[in-house]
This record gives sequence, C-alpha cells and structure tokens, in this order.
Amino acid sequence: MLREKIESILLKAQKPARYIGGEPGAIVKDIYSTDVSFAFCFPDSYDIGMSHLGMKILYSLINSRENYRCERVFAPWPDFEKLMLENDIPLYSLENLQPVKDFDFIGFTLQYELSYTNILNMLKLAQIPILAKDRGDELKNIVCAGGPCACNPEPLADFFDFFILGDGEEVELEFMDLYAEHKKQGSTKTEFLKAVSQIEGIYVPSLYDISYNEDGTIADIAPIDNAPMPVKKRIVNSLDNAFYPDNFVVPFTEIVHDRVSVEVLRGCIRGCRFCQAGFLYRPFREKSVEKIVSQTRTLCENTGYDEVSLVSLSTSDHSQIEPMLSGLLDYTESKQINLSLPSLRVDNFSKELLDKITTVRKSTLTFAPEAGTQRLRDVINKNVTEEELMRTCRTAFEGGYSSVKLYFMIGLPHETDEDIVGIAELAQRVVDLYYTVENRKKGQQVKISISTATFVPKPFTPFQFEPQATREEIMHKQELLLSSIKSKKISCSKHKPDTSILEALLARGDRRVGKAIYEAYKLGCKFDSWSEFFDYEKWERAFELAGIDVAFYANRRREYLEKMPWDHLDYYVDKVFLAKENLNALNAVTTPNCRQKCSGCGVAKCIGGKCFE
Amino acid sequence: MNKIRVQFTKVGRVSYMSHLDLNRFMQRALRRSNLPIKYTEGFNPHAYLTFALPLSLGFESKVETMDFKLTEDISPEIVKDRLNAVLPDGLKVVSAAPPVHSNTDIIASEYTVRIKSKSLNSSELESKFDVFYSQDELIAEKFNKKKKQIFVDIKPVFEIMTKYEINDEFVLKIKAPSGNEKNYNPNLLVDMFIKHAEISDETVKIERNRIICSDNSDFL
Ligand code: SF4
Repeated sequence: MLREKIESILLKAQKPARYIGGEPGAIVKDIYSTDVSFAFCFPDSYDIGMSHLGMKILYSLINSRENYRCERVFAPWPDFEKLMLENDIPLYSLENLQPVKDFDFIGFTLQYELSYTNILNMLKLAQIPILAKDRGDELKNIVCAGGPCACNPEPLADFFDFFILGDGEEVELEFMDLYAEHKKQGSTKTEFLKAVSQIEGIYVPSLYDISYNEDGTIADIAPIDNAPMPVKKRIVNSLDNAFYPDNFVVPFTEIVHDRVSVEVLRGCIRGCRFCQAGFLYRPFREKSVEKIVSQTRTLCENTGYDEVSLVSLSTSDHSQIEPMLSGLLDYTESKQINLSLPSLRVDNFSKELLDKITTVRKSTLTFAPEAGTQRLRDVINKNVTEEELMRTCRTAFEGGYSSVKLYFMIGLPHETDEDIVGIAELAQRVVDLYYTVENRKKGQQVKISISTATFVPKPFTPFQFEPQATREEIMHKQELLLSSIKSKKISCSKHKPDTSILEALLARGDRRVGKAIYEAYKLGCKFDSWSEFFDYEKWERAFELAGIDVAFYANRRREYLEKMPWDHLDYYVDKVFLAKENLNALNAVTTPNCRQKCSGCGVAKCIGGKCFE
Repeated sequence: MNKIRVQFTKVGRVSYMSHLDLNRFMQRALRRSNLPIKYTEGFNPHAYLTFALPLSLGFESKVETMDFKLTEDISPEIVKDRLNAVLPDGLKVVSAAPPVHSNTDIIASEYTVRIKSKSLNSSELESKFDVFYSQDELIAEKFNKKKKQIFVDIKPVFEIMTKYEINDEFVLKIKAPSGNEKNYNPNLLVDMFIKHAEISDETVKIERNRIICSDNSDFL
C-alpha cells in the first residue's frame, strides 16, 4: 500500500508533516463515491503552496460539490523527492494519499514563471508523460492550469491540455460538469477538449496553429475546428456573490502565510504601467464591509488562527476602508486577533488610519515608490509624489516608527543614471527627515532599507513592447546605486539579474520557448525561484539545445503592430490602449486612476459599460 | 484558577508533527474549541500550555498530556468533548482531570519498538539483537544539557522488559529514564543496534506506552 511505503521514508525527510496530510480542515472524501476528481497541484513546496489563497478558494469550491473531489499536491522538496524515487513512490495527493495519475484532472496554478520546471518535474514524478501529445486519447489525466501566468501560457502549450483564463470561481465547476457528462458518454479526450474550448474562459492550445515570419516574429495564430477567436477571460461580477471558503486547512507545520486571509477587493484602479496584476485583474470590484467582517469572523472561528491579513492589490483603495477597518478591529480586538495590513499605499494613509493600525502592532513601515525621481514615477504612472512620501514618513516617525523599507525597480523603461542616483537621494532625504521630527522615538536609530527588483516587461501591460535592460546595464545600475549611498543608516543589497532575465524570457515567450523549458527540466532544473537551486548555466545550455536566443525575447523592442504570442487571448484591455499608454510613458504623461476618470482601456464593456457609478 | 490536564493520543498522520509544531497547533485548536482558556497578556496572547514530556518526531503515543488553565468552572467531560470536536484524526483526548502528579515526579517511560526489515525476518532480527545486546558495554554518543558531546554506556540505562516476534516484526519493550533529571531516547539504543547489525532497509515504529512516576504509578 502506498501509505505504508510513504510512512517508511517519512522520518528520513525534513519536516515530514508536509507529506502526509491529515490536517484539520482537510476534506477527505471517499474515492469510490465521487464522480470527478481534481488534483490541485501547486508547483512549489508545501510551505509556499499552502499559503496561497487561490488554492484555498478552489479547493473548498470543488469540494462543496458532493460528488466532486479536490485533493492537494505540492512539489516535494529535493530530499523527499530522492526518497520517493528510490522507493518507487509516485507523486500523490495529501488527502487520500492517492497517486496523481489516478485523477481525472491534474490542475496547476501558474503564479510565477520560475515554477515552470517544477511542473514538468511533478508530471514526471506522477509518472505521466510530460508532453500532452504523448498522453493518449483516453478521457483521464486532463492537465490544466490557471492563475496569472496563464495570460501568456504559450511557453507551456506543449505540456497542457487547456488553460483557464481569468477568475476561476465559476468556470471551474462548469468544465468539471462538462467532463462528468463526457465521462458518462464515454467520450475521448479530443472530443472533450473540443467541447470544453467553447466554454468562455477556457483556452485549448492544441486548437490553434501558430506560424512564424522569417524574422522570428509571429505571422499568424489560426483557430482550428471552430475554436473561439479571441479566447475571452472569465470575470466574476460580484465578489459578494462569489464563492469564498468558510474554512482553511490548518497545517501541522509552519508555512509562509500562516493565518486567515480575506480578499477585500479584486483589480486595481491605479494603472501602474509595469504592473501586470493591475491590468489582468480589471475591472475593480469590491467586497462589502459586511461580507469582509463576516468572512473574517467565520474563518477565525473555524481555523483558530489569531492573525488575519487582508488580501488585495491595494487595500487602501477600498471605498469603505475606514468603516471596514473599524468593523474588523471591533471583532479582532475583542478576540485578541492580530490584523495585519500589507500593501497600504502612501498617498491615502491618514493619521487616523495609522493610529488604528499602530494600536494593533508596531513594525517596519513599507512603501513602494518604485522609482527614484518624479519624472520616472510619471513614466511608470506610479502616482506617488515625494511630498506624499515625506508626509507619510513624518506621520509614521511621529507615531513611533523608526525603520522604513522602500521598494524600487531598476531597469525601468526610459531610466537614466540620474533616476538611479535619485533612489539613494530619496532615501537620504527620509533619513534627514527623521532627525527633524521633534517627537520621534528617542534613543532609536533610523533605519532605511532599500530593496530593488529588476524590472521584467510583462504581457498585457503598456510595457509589453519594451526591451528588458541587458545584464550589463543592470549590473551598472546596481553598482551606481550602491556607490551613491552615503549614509550607514541606509542599507541596500545587490542581486544577480539572472532570474529576472529568465522571467522575462518565459513571461513573453512563444511556443518555441517550451523546448527550452523541457531541456532545462531534463538537465535537472527545478525550484528555480530558490537561489540555492537556481542554476543559470544549465538554463544557458538549455537555450542552446533548444535554439533559443534570449535577447530576441527579452531585449528586443516590439512594434505596436507586432503579433504578440498572447494576442489571441482577450483580457479585455485593448492593445491600442496599451500602445497609447506606452506612448504616454515615453512622454512621462500620467494617466488618472480609474476612480478619477475612465481612460477607456476596454474592460468596462464586459461589465455593462461602466466600472464605477 | 482551574488547572486541567488532558491526556491525549498522538497516532497516525499526526505523529509526524514535531513537538514545536504541536504547541502552535494546540494553541489554534484551543481557540477553535471556544473553551474559556487563560491567556497571556500582551500583543500576542497565547494559552499557557505545558506538555509533560516531548514526544520525538514520528513516535506514537496514547499517554501524552497537556496542561492549561481555565478561567471558569467547566466539567472535565465538557473540556474533553469540546476539544475532541476540533482535533484531527489521531489526536484524541482520552481523559481530562485536574493534575494528580507534578512534572518533576516523572522518572521513566515505557516504549514498544517494532522493527521490520525487507531482507531479514523477525527471528533473524532477534538473533542479531541478541548478539548486539550481549556486548558488555554499549557506548553511545550523546549530547548533554550543555550541548556537549559525551560518551555513555547505555547498557545499564535501558531496561529490556520483553522482546518477541510477531508476524514479520521484531518487537522490543523498553523502559527508559525520563524527566528532568535524566532523559534517554529509545532511538539511542535502536539506532545503535541497526548500525551494529548493518541493517539498511529497516522500518522502525516506536510507541510510548506509559509515563511513570517515582512511586511507579502512571503519570496523571
Ligand atoms: S474601463 Fe475605464 S474605469 Fe474600467 S478599468 Fe478600464 S480605464 Fe479603468
């Protein structure tokens, strides 16, 4: 029996509780009395995957249907993977400890590009052929994926049967229902895939033919067999009516986000030009305060967690932020529950709000100006002024904070050396500000830490046309930044740009890039987002074997009229709008946020013509 | 303040939860139970929890105990039921009552060790064990309380209460010193035996059967 085999190796692995399931909140259904089974695979470790909200939502949603069964699967850490292989244990789910190869659906979530090799590795561990075309025509083992990276799934097209575009809450059960019917009728996989492609939000890559120009760009994307063109993403109209779990699996071992998370809004009004999520999750939709408070209460009661975090791209943009926080704090304070609020924006951080939050917990304040000068902030449409940043820092320092973490990107389009030096200067002005604050916390040193990330151009953003800065340029910018920092109170770390380069390739790659992923996997690449495993040399070898020129994908400016690998996928944001925004960036012209003024991105048409009343 | 001691099992999947994890896990279970538990003051309030003896990762037991304080008078039966309603399979409260013994009364524990091997049958395992155990001294490496490595003869430390074969398993019942003064993990003996007998395909299952006080009564 599989369980016995697993137990015989568990104690040889680090943190074995990750591999055996049985946690409270886990839903274990009888294998033989359910009609359709779905193995929800997270292509990273348990500690990371268990922190992911999307998985919790879909897990509960599928299991809410009596005759459907969803079980969790994570990537085994390499020490355990080795033991599994030595003992001939196939990849299995945590609920019934059932081999993944016995499931109807094998569904992955695509959260970041650097998890792609883990997907291939998990298929191998599951003893399932990695290429979709090798998996036969029997209706089983449908390999599918959703999540943000599904917006350009082309590099993964050879490995998957279909992708889910947009919000998953409604479409998930629709395609499972369809599958149940086809299973009853004894359909083939081909028949099912043809049918499922007609569901809005489902993209079946094998039903589209891609042809290329001589210069390597895409010539045409042609649908086969009546497949829809373009393929539209799915949108959940109301978050209040959308399914939300009333319980989470409470893990035995510590995970990254070990707490209750409540989604408060989806989408973003801001339109920062580098931010893919800001465009992918349009339109902006809020959950009502009553729902937020009641879901928080239910989840805290059912899980026993003593910490809640609010999840969204920009929580402080909720129109009812003050009543929401008061309502939440009334409950959490009475139950001695911690309320943590990440990603609060600088420009609408009021004193009252800050006071409310600081009564809960005092920690480092984090801000993301993203760029060092006002000009560059205008280029990227990050509508934060220095004045606002300073005002907020002052309030924070007066409120007893003494350390601030500032997030920046380097390698942004139209960035000059001046903008890089500007990062150091901005941090210095925050340091100087601290010493002008009369009632700052005495006897405390001010600490500013600068965190930089290399900019990666992403599909469905105004910067999708932009080249990524080359390795040499990035190295130069990092050196320049470090040498511009004059104070010991400012810290800043350096990082290798390799992962960002790979991310740029995978994010905007076409189907031909799949070969490089396949080669990299065969060379042993996995857990690429973990610095201890990332091996760029292997990837370079893979590019060579696959005949992939990284610069073609990462460092080339793309014409507005060029056919992008994802042009047949419709996220409702018009390409013309993206091109216009790209021009605005060039001219450092800002675009107002959606609440101030609709800029006509095209999304409103999918929800009746208007995003805001 | 009502101090209460629950005795619980830790068997099956939950036996792979480490002792550190168990503490955090129980904090959440207590919150789910909605029992009137006494919490610490401050930003991160938590229940005062004490466990009599940490159980090693992977060991099973039906005699674990956990103490906490209640702020109201509640019958132990209710405490037991409310906890069992929120605990997962394998963690089950068998009794709840005010503590009888103090933690310092503990002197020993009894364990059942089940050893299985793919290549050796149970009687081969037993005879290998006899050879191993017939040595005059069994010198093991151990870390003392100051984390310093020391060498001790563990032969007089462990008492082999019984040994027998059942199906393909070789079973040992061992008594080991436990508690604040002296604490010996049965793995010390088992690992040494496995190494001495040069077995590499073993499966070992260990269960704690009793926690024993100085007057030879069960810890309650
Ligand atoms: S349609 Fe207008 S308001 Fe709606 S997301 Fe696009 S720009 Fe914003």
